[in-house]
Amino acid sequence: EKVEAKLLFGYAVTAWDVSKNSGDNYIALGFLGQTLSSGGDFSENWGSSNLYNISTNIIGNGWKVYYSTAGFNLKQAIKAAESAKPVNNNGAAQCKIILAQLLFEGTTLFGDVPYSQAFDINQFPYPKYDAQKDVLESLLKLLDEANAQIDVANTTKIADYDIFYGGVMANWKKLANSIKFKILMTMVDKDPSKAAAIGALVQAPATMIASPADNFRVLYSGNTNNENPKFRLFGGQNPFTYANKTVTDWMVRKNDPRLPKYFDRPAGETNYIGVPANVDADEHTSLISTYLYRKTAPSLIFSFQEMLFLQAEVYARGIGVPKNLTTANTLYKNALQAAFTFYEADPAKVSAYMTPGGGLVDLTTAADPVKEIHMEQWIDMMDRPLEAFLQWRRSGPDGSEVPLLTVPFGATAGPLFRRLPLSDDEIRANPNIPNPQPKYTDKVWFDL
Amino acid sequence: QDRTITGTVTGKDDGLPVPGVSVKIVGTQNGTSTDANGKYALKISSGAASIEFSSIGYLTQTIAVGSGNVVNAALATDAQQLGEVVVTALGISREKKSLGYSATTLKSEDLTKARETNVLNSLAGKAAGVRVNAQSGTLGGASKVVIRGVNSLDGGYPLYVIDGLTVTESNAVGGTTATNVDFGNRIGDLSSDDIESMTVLKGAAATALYGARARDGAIIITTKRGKKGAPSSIDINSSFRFENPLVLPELQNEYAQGNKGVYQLTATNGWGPRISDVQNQTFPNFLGNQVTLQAYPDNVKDFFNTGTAIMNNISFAGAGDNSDYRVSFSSANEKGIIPQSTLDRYTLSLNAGKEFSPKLSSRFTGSYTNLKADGRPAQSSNNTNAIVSTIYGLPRTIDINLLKNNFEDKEAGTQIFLSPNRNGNNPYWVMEYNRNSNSVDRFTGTYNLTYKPLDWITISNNFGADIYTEKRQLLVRKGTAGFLQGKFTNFDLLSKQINDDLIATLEQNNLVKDFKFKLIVGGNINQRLNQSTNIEAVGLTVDQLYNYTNASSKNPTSIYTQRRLLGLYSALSVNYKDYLYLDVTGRNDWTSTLPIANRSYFYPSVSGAFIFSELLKDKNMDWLSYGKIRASWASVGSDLEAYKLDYQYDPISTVFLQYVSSTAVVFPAGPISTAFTAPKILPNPELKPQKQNSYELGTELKFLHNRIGIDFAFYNNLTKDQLIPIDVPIATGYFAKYVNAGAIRNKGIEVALNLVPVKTKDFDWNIDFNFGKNKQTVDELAPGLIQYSLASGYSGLSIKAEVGEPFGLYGSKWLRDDNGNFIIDEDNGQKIAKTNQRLGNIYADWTLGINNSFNYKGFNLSALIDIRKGGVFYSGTVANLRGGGLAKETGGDRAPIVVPGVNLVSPGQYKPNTTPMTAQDYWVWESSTTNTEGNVFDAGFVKLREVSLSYVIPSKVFKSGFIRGIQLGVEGRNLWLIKSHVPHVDPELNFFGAGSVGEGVEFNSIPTTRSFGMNLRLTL
Repeated sequence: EKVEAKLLFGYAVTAWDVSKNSGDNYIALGFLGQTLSSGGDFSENWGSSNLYNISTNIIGNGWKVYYSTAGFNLKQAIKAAESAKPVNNNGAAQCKIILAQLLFEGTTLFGDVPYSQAFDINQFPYPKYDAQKDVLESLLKLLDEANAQIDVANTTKIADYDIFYGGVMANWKKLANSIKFKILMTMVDKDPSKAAAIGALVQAPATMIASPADNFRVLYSGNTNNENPKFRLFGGQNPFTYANKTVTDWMVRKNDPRLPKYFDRPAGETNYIGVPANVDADEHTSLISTYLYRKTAPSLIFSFQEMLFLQAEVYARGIGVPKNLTTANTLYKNALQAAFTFYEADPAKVSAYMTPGGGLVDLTTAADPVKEIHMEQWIDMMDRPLEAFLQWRRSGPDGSEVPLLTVPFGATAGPLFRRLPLSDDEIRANPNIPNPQPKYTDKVWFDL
Repeated sequence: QDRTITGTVTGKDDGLPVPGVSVKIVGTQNGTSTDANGKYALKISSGAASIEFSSIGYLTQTIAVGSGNVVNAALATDAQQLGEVVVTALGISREKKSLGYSATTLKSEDLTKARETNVLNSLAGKAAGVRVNAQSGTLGGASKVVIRGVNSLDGGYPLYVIDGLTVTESNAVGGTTATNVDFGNRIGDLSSDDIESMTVLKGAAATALYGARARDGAIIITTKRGKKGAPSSIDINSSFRFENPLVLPELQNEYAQGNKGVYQLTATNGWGPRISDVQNQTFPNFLGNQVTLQAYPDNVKDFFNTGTAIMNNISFAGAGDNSDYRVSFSSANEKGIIPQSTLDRYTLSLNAGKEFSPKLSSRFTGSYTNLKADGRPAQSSNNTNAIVSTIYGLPRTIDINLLKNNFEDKEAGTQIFLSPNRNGNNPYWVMEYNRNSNSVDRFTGTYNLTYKPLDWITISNNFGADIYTEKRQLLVRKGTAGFLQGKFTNFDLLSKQINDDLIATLEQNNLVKDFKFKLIVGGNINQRLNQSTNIEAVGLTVDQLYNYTNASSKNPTSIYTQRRLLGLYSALSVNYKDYLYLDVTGRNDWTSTLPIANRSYFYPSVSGAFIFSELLKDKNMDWLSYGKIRASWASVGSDLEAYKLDYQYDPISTVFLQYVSSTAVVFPAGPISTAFTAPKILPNPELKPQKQNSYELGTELKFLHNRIGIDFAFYNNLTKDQLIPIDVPIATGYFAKYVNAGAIRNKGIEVALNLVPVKTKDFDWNIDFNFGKNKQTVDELAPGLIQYSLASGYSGLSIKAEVGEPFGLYGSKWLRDDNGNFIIDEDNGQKIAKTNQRLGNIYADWTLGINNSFNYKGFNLSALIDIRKGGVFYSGTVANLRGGGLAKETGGDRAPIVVPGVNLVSPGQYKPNTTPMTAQDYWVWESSTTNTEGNVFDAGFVKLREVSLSYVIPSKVFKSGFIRGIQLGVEGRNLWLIKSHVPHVDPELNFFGAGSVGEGVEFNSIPTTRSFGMNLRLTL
């Protein structure tokens, strides 16, 4: 039984993006990572709850996407592409790059996960769990392999079903390098030997996402069945998901031009007011905007602004390159500009922000330039909870993360949430799960 | 010298004179017979020693002649000579006494006394070891039949055979699927008026000739035919019946909706202020009017209608010398307890036989059924249209009549919601517009041709087909909360089953002295085809126009399966002197659903019966009227669903979108026009047949001239190599893989006890006890697998198989200390729950049906009580009622509650709990979906299942002869839940549906009904 690679690819990427933008990885991680607020009992939908009582459904659904509905179909698509006649090397590379990003997301949430023995039921009916470091190293190799496999001139590839780049292989090469860069940045604090590779990449920025046009994203047309999943989740209205106080406090203080794009104020309110995690909102609290939940909102997976913030961080910290705050400052400013443009902020407000005396911070004179970069990266990711949660854990050792978060109201006392525990399906069926089983308070390998 | 002996012959049981008894002098041909008064006179010579009295139906008795001139005899009835005939596998009629296994037969009178539209329900409580549960109170809803326990991890149901044709049973599977509507089971299409008898074959030896498909027992149905020798007749049977809910919740009537004692219009619950405390204030109601709060104690009860059912049957039957016929037309027209719910069913059937010559005869039986049902309510949680949660969840202050008259803004054509947040659908809107309907057209027919070339050879071919189409439609009108843009779903189902049996029967009674032999050799071809197309159309442009062009997206799914089974079989019966019987059968099947290497499988059975009372006849053991022991052993295999072997990529049109739908985002999505996925369950090309080994021992005893009868059976069934998808680590890419694994044992006893405490000429009283105790054990699962999930509810509630246990209910359980005290969280006073714990068996420890029947002249009164002991039951309805502060027990003063229990001080150290909780917090926590144990109850009950009173007007009344018989009856079913441990709902509800192995769980199921009716039967 054979099937064309693109048909499996099409299903895998759709299932993945829906999971990223629906109840599982959007709502749950948004509340847990505290970029979104439930509004507690004031919300007609969520109600007050112990956020750290994490639903087994959410954990299980995510796991199924990583390893079965998306992951396994990509794996099968690679097989199909490589055994097709003519061989579809580009298609295989496209699937590998997506698989790398997918499993990178998976390991950031679940820590040690199966990789070397995954997806091969006949040989490994009970796949073992690889250390996160090994998984990340393997993903770097997979990306190199994909990069080497790409032949930009070859027209055999996934083109019409490539919802990301329409089959432009040059963009896929850039993407592979960008994901490598992000993985390295995730590893480098735990494994400083990665600094050299980072240095090499930032000195060749053109080999990575280098413009908004290079953004790795899913565009939604807004036609039936092709609306952003968040639109379908909220039905085009948002009567019940609220602004988080940490986000609004930061943005309001700087008069961030994205405020009206991120939030809807209740009628008559002049201020953007957020509420801490699981604390009851009230009639003054701002809601997450219907703009973010519009039909045609793109689903952003790796953006130009994210790339610029990461590069700014490299220069501000001197990772693999000499520390250079001036370069960092330029990159930081460009990153903010790209972010404002992406969210279609009012140009007048943007220039007010960018002019001296506006919200823009000059990193060369800032007390803690790295913190500024981390915070703006996190703010930019408010609508991307999975990335924001990774960014937060990466931003500093325990107790020094940016921003500093506290245990949500009503949640189990103790340390903050740092990872997802294992899925019930996996606990039930796989005798090779880690022992002891990780708890949500346990740090994954890269998290200091 | 000669003398004359006189005497009277009476029946030993009743003392009444027996006419026509042959009275003979032993050793001579001289004799006479008794007159109408049982008297005789017989001249005997001096040498005569004894007189023999014999008569059909009585045991022959020999009495020595003494010196007196009077010899009276009291004859005992001969139970075995009653010659009860049972229709067994492949339609073979057998004398019951010759069977080496247990079989229960229900005659037409047993089924039509208190008529049910679903004839399966009439089986409840009447056969030991057979359990019948209606799954919900849905009109025309499904019933689940389980014979001798569940043998398989994927459930199963008995094989149904009508006049030799294996028919298709299909069940509405409920569970957590999106459309939790009970569409009934197809075997419910049968008209009870057409049934002559129903035989329940319980064990594998009984059903071995059917092979795999009868693994879970078989129900053999024989339809009525015109009787030879009886005059042509017209039978009319009419019933009229009323229905109302058997159990409705008991509700508090003191508190309004709100939160923590404060009125909130947006809340549909009972946690608001005490109504009597706020009589000096007004509050907005759902229409926006300011009103003084008032409780409407009957608002739930008044929602339900009195259901009605009119059932009519007319049949014409007759027979000539070499032909017979019966034509019957049945109708059932019903209105349910849920407003708008209706069902109409019509059946036309024909049974015609013709003898072309003494050697060649044929018979056709067939029926056509048309069923139309509308307004089938949705059940369970997470369903926009679930009606029970809406009705039971109404705040106590809502006037149902106000709601009924205000569910739609007629001008705007929009719904008037229960709350301004548009989150509570108005139940009348749901019932009026969001209709679920189905219609069925079904034909079943068999043609039998029998040829007897020699008087000891019979060759017979039975060809039959069962074909039906069913259309289902589920509508959701635009403006329904949860689906504002509207949608509809159409299902088109086609099922075809074609079956042919060619059987040669060879009988030899004179080959060897005292032995009778019967050899059957046959072949079977069975083909089943199922096709279904389901189209979900979402996003309607024009309101209430349910066609595809009006929908912005369409999602079609179609399923097609075809499977074929070929079988060869043989059965040899040996009868020694009519008291020792041996049966050996063998069948080999070839199935299309198993791998070629494993697709052929053989199963044998052996059974025997010994009527030991025959040997004790002369031992003067008067107290023993009849005694038989029986034993059987069988091994049967079974195949698997079609298309489970090949690795295939499937086209897929949906993906999972949490909080929106398990089937959202419909391809084509943007540029991706078609999507395929690898299978989620890994096929296994090396599967082999499942194997069931079973044995059964039994005895049938009758004492004191049949005043006491016992039928006892012990059985042990082990079903191995179950074909199941077992979970695999998802990191393999699959959710599960098909394997042969696991073994389930069902061991049990069945006792049928029949007592006749009183029997006189005009009056008799019969008591029947049907006791069944089945112990199911999961002997093993796949290696390394301790638990296997069989069916899932919500929030961690599931039905699982666990090694060493029967199937059980799992969910979260309260933590307890070593002394059994609840461990309470000191911070908030709440009990602490632990997930994935066993909460009890879903099956009963034992069941008992007790039927009392009284006959006085033409009157018959009977009452059936059904008892279930043990097992557990989870009620989501109770959870909702309690969590919402509506159940009666949540009312009262609502003082803070200190839950009795202990707080953990340090490991192993506890102190008594003193932390109070508000009443609201207590009930909300107790009923939270994450705390399963809070709403788990003992499932045992005592029910008055059936009462009927009938009167046959004596035939002498009808002098003219036009009317030949009238029978009047009143009947009641499911009349009274005498004892139950479950508050607010009937413990027999089951939301998983009849097609699932899951049971013992209910989420907002439609309440079961009590019915009461009248019946008139007329023979012309």
